[in-house]
Amino acid sequence: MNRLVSLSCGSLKSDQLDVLRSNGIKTVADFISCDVESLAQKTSIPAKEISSIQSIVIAQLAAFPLNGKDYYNGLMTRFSIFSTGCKNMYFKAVFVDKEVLIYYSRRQRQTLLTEVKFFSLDELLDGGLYTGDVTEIVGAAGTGKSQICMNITLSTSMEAKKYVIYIDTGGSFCGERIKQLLEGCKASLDDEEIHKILSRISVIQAFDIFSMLEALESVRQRLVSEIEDEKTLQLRLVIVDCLAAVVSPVLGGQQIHGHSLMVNLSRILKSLAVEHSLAVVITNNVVADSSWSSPFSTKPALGPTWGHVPSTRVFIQTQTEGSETNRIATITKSSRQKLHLSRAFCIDHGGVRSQAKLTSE
Amino acid sequence: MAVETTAQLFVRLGGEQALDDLDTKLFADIPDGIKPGHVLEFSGQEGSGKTEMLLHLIANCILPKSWKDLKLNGRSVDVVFVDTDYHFQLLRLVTVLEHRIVNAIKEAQNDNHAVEDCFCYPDKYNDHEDFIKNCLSHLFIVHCNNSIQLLATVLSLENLLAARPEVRIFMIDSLSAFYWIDRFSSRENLSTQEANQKKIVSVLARFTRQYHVVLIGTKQSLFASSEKTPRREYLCQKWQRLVNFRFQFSMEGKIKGTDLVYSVCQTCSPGNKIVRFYIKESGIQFLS
Repeated sequence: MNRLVSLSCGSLKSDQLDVLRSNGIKTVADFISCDVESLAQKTSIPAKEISSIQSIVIAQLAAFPLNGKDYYNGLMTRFSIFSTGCKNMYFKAVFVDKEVLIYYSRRQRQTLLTEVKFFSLDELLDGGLYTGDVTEIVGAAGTGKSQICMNITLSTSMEAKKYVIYIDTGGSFCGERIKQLLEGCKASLDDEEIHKILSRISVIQAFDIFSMLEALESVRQRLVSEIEDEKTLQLRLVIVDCLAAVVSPVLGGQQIHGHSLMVNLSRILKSLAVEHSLAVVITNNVVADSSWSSPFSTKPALGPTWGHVPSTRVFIQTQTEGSETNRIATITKSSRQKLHLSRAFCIDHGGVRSQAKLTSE
Repeated sequence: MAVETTAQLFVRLGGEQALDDLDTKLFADIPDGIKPGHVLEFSGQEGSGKTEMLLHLIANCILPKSWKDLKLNGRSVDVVFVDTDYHFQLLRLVTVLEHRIVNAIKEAQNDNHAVEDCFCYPDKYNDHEDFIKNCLSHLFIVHCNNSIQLLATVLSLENLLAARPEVRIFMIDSLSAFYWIDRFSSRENLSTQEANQKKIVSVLARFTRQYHVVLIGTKQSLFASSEKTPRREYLCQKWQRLVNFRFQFSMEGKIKGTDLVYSVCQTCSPGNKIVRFYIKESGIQFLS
């Protein structure tokens, strides 16, 4: 509740404020929605004066409507899609007595006799990560959420040459791993280039929701203040890994306080995405899902209020078959893609790779 | 007081035909159709197709009845979209519009072999991008970040409504966006918590009377549903009294084939007839 003080409505004098207060106009909201004529009759303030101050206050507070055409033109100048950096593996499958032999070869792809479909996370996301979207990666511990995040970070910094902010809440960001990924991608990089790539990645450690809000607010301040440095202008991706780690502790007990903090956090993430054209990636844990209608035995953590926040959600599961772990990514929320599409992927020393689904056609 | 030309007055008062029921399938059960001044509420869980349905209705509104020789069955009226959740995706809307045009061209050509990928526009329709941009100029988008800003924005939109009588639809996605923030900042005092919301609703109620706009608000399911309380009403009483028609959205899962089926049910009406639809790349497709 914003109280009505002369600070917020500059031209109201303090004695006029007292008159307004005694007539039940205590907050800014009361003032801007009051009926001018009847107020002028009750108080000695001329109606003209009230309505002019009222319209100034409304104009200061209100958001400006954008015409759809202008919005579209503006959007197209800033719009971009980032790859998740998930490399395609090209397979040649030869079916010999129901035994499948797999050859990995990029060059052989053109000469494949039996075409096997190959998939990637990008394809799952209809091209990749869109600016203006909040993409949520959901999975239990050890399913590879942080690995995907690091992969995205590196590919955005290396291929797209954009700046990345990585907010790390659990100490899961690993510099060594980034270096390993970098060496796996391009062996021929010199030190200067490696330095350039790594300097585009900023890591912020936030171990509670307050430092997280502070970190995001400082990013927003930087974007709003229009500082003309490359670091701000070229910032295109914000990763929060893992979001649930800071939100879950405040949700217990005092429900309302926790939810209001969570909604504040969600709003700042979404406004960064939409108003500053950033791609935002968050990771979330899972909790057990007891409802019978669900296709999975788990559901995203943080409850139904949070569920409305991300516009795209990728669910990651692992299946263990003997000594091998299969990772499967399924899209469970999207406004662009067909839901419940699945893609298998694996993680090796070179990063996240997609795996072909072996379908014998 | 804004001055209105007679032409604008005519559009405003004769607007009943212009709306033409908004959507024939979704509102098929409402005897007289959707009339100017009606208030609709869309509620549902995340991913139940609320925003997608709004995009479908926007496409119905901002497209003209016909373009060149194509029948688009639009209404060519203006829409104001207040986005409090940052959920509105313009690119998605553009995709929906493109598909409508493509479908209309195919229909005109009687082309039934649907090869989606290699479709190219005939020369006659080369300017379809400009056409879509022109359609988009019928749409006004505004983002809001807190409930006091929403109140001020709604108040300031009166100028737009007065200046453009072509605005027939006023959408708010969603009304529940600031629920937790307001509830916390009011320290559990219900009347302070709902103070801003009540003011917003009363301004909106005035708009529906004065400018004859159709108001569509969405409400998210913020609480887990249980046996005892399947749907909890948590918006202020004033809003609940204002609403003429309530629609409950839900995702039903796979019934036929591989496409997900969504359903929308008009609650608080006798019969509770359920309308089912798919969400495809081309937009909403109703199951007949």
